[in-house]
Amino acid sequence: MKVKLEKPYKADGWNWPAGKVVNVSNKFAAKLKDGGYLDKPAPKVTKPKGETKPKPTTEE
Amino acid sequence: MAQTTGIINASSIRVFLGTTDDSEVVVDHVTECSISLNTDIRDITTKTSGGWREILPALKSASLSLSGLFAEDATNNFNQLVDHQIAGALLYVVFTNTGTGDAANSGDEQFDVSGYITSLEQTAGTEDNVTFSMTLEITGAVVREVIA
Repeated sequence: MKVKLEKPYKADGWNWPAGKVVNVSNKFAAKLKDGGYLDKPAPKVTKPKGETKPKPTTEE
Repeated sequence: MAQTTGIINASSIRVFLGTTDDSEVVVDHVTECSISLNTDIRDITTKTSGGWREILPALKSASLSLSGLFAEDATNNFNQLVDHQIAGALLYVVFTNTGTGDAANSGDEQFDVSGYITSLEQTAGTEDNVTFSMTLEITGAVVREVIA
């Protein structure tokens, strides 16, 4: 099955960059999935604009 | 998915190979492929066989052949196969039915074998496609399994 690598794979005689689409056997696809090679990297969490940290309250 | 019903379209049969088990990649631009299983026989004919030969099964063997179109930039095409043959690499091969898609069709059966390239040929005529053909002699047991 055709899979798209989300991170580079350098093992088993293969040397592929991230983003490469390869047509692999079902067992290889399962192995790549288990290794996290087909998962999209988690999106970066960005702070919404205007959000500020609440100031710590101080006891008087 | 369920087992495919009816007569299989030959174009659905694909060959995947690699140098590590369960790390097989499709052989690009294949036009024809076949797998052949053979059983030698032992002749056990005696005077009491009634004039008819009697046999028992002996050594089993198998080979896989394919031919295709040559492309420099293809995956698992002639360039890579030459390297494997010269290196004497043990190759792991899946001979499977992908149906109409790219993935092997779960519920159908496939061959899962390993072996060595014993013959590789590239042919170039005039104003025609450059082609290649390969024969792989299988070592060890031939596994026929249900596609998961």
